[in-house]
Amino acid sequence: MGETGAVRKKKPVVLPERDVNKPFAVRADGSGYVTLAELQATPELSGKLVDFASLSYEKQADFTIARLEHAPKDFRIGIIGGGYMSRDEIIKEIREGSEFGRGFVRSEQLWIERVREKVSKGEYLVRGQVSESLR
Amino acid sequence: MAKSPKASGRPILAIDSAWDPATKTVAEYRKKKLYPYFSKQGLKLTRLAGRLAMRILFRVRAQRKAVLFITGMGHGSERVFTGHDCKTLLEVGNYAAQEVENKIIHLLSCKTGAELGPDTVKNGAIAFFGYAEDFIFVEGREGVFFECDCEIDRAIAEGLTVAEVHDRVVARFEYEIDVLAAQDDLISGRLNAKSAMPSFSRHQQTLRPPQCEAAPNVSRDRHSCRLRCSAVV
Repeated sequence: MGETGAVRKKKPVVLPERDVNKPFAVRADGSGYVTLAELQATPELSGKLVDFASLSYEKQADFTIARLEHAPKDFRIGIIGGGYMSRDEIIKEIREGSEFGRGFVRSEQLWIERVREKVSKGEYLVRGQVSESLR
Repeated sequence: MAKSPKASGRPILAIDSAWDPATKTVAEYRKKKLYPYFSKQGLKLTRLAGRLAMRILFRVRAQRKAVLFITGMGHGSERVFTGHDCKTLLEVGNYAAQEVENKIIHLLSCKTGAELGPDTVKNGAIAFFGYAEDFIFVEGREGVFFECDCEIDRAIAEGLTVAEVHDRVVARFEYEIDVLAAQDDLISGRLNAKSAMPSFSRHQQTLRPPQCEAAPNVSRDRHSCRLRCSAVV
C-alpha cells in the first residue's frame, strides 16, 4: 500500500475543489450552510456553527440531501442482496426517514467528522492550504 | 510441528449467493480476485455458488470438522444470512453448534455483524468478521469496496490472529479512504462508513491455538495459525 511505517510522514490528501464547495456545516443562525472552503477562508465562522448531532432528523436530512444534490444524476449505489439505488431514490429514502435513509445520513455525518479531524491535523488539505504549505 | 494446509487438507467453505445484479457483481469479483489467491496459498476451496447456496448443502458442508474457515456473501439482516433467492442459510437460534464450532466466519453481507456474528461466537466460532449495517458500494467503483472486504479473507488465509486481521483490514480501509478522498467524497464517504467493521472472537482475541508451533525460519510473532496448522483449539 505504499506505506513504509511510522517513520515516514504521510503525504497530505488534497481534497478536490468540487468537494470543498459542498455544504460542510450548518450555520447556527439558520441562514444555511457553510462550505469547507469558506470555513478555511474565514476561520471565525467555526464559532457560528451548530453541532450536527443536535439537529433534528429533518434538518440533518436536508443537509445530507443538499450535499447529495451535488452528485451526478446517474450516481448509483449497490446494496448486497438489495439491488441498486439511484441518487433520486436515495434522496427519497432520506426524506422518508427509512432505515436506509437514516443510515445514509449517519454515513455523511461520519464523513464530515473524519474530514474535520483530518483537516485539523493537516492530513487533509483544501486548495488554499496547499499553496500556503508551498511557501 | 504444524502441518501445511495441503497436508492438513482443511478446506475453506465459500458461499456466493449470486441471484440479483448486486450479488452477481460481488460473486464475479470474488471468483476472479479472491479464490485464485486461496489457490496460490495452497488452500482447498469448496464453493456453494448460485443455486447451490442452499441451507441443506450449507448445513452438511459446514458441519465437517475439516472446514476451518467459512467465507460467505449474500443478503443478510441482523439475525439471518441468506443464500440463493434470499433463502435462509444461517439464522440465530436455528442452526447446530457444529456448523460454526471451531471455525472462523466472515460474511460480506448487510447487518449480520449485529446479532448473528456474536451468536456464532457464543456457539463456538473462533471468530466472526462482518458488518453491523448495510454493506453498500458505489456503482462503477465497486472494486475498492470488495477489495477492502477481501483483505479480511486474505489476512485469514495467511493465518494472522484476529487482532492482526482486524488491524490489517482497518489499515487497508484507511488507505483506500484517503486515496478516494482526493478524488470524490461520495465514494470515500461510503467506504468510510464501512471501516468500523466489527469482529468478535473468543480465546482472548487470538486465532492461534496454544499448541500451535512456529514453523522453522518463521518468527513466532509473524507465524500464522489456523489455516496453516492442523491443530484445533
